[in-house]
Amino acid sequence: MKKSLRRMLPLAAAAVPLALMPMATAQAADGTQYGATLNPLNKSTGSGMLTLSLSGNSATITENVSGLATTFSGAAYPHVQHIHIDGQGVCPAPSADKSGDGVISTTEGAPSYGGIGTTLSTSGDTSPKAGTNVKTAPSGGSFSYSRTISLDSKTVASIKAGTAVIVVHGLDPATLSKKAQNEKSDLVPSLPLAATSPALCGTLSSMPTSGPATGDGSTASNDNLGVAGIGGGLLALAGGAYLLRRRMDSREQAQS
Amino acid sequence: MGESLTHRGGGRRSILTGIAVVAALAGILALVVAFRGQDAPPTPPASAAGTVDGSTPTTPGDTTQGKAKTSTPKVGGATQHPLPVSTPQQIDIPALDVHSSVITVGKNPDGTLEVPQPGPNIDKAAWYENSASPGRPGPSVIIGHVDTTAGRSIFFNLGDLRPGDKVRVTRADNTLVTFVVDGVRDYPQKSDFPTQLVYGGDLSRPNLRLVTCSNFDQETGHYVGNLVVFAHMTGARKA
Repeated sequence: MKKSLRRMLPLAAAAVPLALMPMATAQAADGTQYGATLNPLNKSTGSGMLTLSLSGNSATITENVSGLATTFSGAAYPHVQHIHIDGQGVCPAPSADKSGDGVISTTEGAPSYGGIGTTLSTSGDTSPKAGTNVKTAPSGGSFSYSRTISLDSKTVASIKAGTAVIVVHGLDPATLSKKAQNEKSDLVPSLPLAATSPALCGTLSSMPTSGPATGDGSTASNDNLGVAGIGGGLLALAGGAYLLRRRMDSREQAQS
Repeated sequence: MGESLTHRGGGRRSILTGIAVVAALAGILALVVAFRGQDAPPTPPASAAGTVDGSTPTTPGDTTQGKAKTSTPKVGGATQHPLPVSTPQQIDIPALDVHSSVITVGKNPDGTLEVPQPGPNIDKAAWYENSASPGRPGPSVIIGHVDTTAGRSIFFNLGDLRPGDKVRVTRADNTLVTFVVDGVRDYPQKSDFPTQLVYGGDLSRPNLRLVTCSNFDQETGHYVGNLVVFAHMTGARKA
């Protein structure tokens, strides 16, 4: 009996680890896909989303923006846009409006999102120098933007560090306070404040790597085989005990 | 041995009888539990894959990356104003009888998506905080467990959804956004996961992605794939 019991116990013991399987873990990172949801700043009514696929220093950018100011001086409203870097990697809170005019100017937002690292222009120069060039800015209240550009090492480093922030500029002057409507741009004094102030902002973050680990396996797993194994082991134990009892009975009969 | 059998045979016999009876009952119970718990989550057929943001899947899995539709910019015309930013609070999927509050999750330090943890939120749906607010252009990503140590979880039956089914999401601002399913796709390996299509894709319209685990690997004890439901917004109203 002891022998047969010993033979059975490891069977039940082996089944236990199966029943204690850990949660699924996801696989290694590739970390080259980034996204930014662009949310309104300064009471802008707009919306946008941008994705950036990084390969070395080459970035393929796809962006869709809607709901921004549509016209400026009778023409399509130019919305200059940039990858801001070397700040805190966040969009400014309303308290960033130090001047109290109800508008967070580009300068006032800088401590949050940093300075211009790359200009997301429609053609030509993408350096900070092109930052206020309205001629190469996407324009209109809604636009789709798609371009593959080379990034400088500082912008790449900021993207990888999670501190790159996409900012789209250009507000509808009518939404500004009276005071702000009469102010000049902090960047281009020949333009009104509305023209260069941020309208949409979003931190560029890496897309989650691989798929989420949303299962334990309790329903699909043969963990149940573990439980079944225990069940089988117990039944075998029962059988063994019964057989041994019968053997004792027959030995006693033989002895008497 | 024979000696002790004669003297203590009666006591041993009743012990053995006890062992036999208890072990038999426990064994039967374990087998019942084991086989009743054995129900794998549904996997969608290829016909449910649908057309998602202009892309149809290749087999096996779908490695096609989403391409943004280049819509004509509306310049100077009436501009459509998207819904304001607001977090999702509740998800209802009538076809699956799924009704759940929605928590918010971010990313883990290793770059993977955070998932609902053991405790009161384990069986809730979870919205990824860096995805779009439901009803704002771009993909809004909501995940849920297929199962937990306790058995079936919130998205167990996600693979039973079909193109045309409706998903309703209620936001904190009391707006109820309705989405209609475009496709239900299974990506058997994590490496097949179409990151760009799920978190990017068509950025011009409000989309919804529901994600759960799939394809349990008996050898590793982990799900190695993901099941994704792709949907787009059809309407929004005050809840």
